Amino acid sequence: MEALTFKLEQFDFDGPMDLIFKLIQKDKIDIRNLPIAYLCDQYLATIAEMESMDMDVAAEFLVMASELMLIKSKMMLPQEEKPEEDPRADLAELLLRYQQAKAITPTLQKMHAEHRDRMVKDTDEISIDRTYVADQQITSLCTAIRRIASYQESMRDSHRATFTPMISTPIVPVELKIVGILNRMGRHKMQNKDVSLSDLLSDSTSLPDMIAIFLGVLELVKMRQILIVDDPDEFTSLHGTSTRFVINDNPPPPPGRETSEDTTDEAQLHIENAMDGKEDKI
Amino acid sequence: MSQTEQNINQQKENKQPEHLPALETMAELEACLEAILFAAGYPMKYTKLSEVLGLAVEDVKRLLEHMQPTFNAEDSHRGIQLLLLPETAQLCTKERFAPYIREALGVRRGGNLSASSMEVLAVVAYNQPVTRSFIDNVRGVDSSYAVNSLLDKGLIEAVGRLDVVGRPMLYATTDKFLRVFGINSLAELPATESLAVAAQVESEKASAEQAATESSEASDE
Repeated sequence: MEALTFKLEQFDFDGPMDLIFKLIQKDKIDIRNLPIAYLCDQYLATIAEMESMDMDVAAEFLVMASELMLIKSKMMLPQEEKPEEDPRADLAELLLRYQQAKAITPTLQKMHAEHRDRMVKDTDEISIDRTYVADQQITSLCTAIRRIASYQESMRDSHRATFTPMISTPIVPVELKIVGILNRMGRHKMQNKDVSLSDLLSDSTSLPDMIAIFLGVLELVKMRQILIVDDPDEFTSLHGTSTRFVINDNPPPPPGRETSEDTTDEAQLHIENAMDGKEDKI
Repeated sequence: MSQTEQNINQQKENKQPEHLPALETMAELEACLEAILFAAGYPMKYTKLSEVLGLAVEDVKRLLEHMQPTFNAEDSHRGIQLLLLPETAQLCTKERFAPYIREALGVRRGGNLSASSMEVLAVVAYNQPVTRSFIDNVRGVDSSYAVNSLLDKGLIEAVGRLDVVGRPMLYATTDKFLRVFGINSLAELPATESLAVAAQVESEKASAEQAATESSEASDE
């Protein structure tokens, strides 16, 4: 709520300063030499009048009343006990500035009315430079993978015992992971949710698993089958495992190719690179 | 530092970014400035322009002053004017075409500033930088609504903090304020006579009004 205005004729004040100001004007008081006692009495009389007319006198008026009474009492101290500075100084200063602002307002209104119609253009849409700058330390990647791995370990110890062969490293087909990713994302899409990288990685049961899923995600993004959810905040949209993905509703048609029987991850990616006819950097 | 080092640094300051082809003529430079100001839309710092063009700030200002009449002159036949503010330059439309623009774009006129907003703006403009508490004290009322409204409209902005207990925020007027009030700098704010004189004038005005009422009452009898 803005300033309080008492809309009753001569009691139409925009606040306590306005009241004092009108009293000053009415009695032609010199601001530089305020007759505080007189002013204080007039002020209190006005407040009393307003209250007797059943008007709700707002708190600010009463606060000002007490301030005026404080100044008045300071002025009444015997000469020796009077403080160094004129107790009226602050009030006088504020009144002068209030008067200055009030006096200039009509002029400002005119100036504004004349020139407010100047219009400016918004800045043009400028494409942001999205070139990835390798400013991350390799250590943060290692830390991240270790964090996920340890999380996976604690959750899936039993699974690992069952599925991971004791000696050899499992070969995980990326193609299979891609199918899994798309299934997962399809289910989330039904619920209108997008999926984060950590959601997708939580399906994994081992470290090679996680790597295969990650490669699958990269491949799907490259083929534009899934899209990275763009956030106006760059830091949020590309931020490690909280990067979010959605299925692309209009995926470009995959280039015609024979499905390879070869399930080695790298061979798969090389073939698709060749078919695209260009070397894509991921 | 040695004279040679100073020279080199000086040259480096005035050198354009290397990938930008040099502009040969004054006409080309002015055209380039026009293009940049148009694309930006917002008030463009002279320092930034000087960096891009490889010129001293003074030279940029001189160029802008030189091209200003081609926009602003009465008979320039241009609908756009060039504003040269203390630290920035900006292109904007000429006021009289606003109704046509609004019609063409299908936009309505924005709301006017309320009297209390204008008062708050006056307090900030003539006393800047100021704290919210100062504004409240001068007006004797809580001015937070008006202050927030002016912040939203981009007419005032936070410019720092006062180094006292609580470190309250300080506010000052913006370039937009200068633009929509039609002045090029704070020095062009309408003069209020020195505060003390203003008080004197006010009380004399009041007594003159008093005298006029009294004499008309007397003649009525």
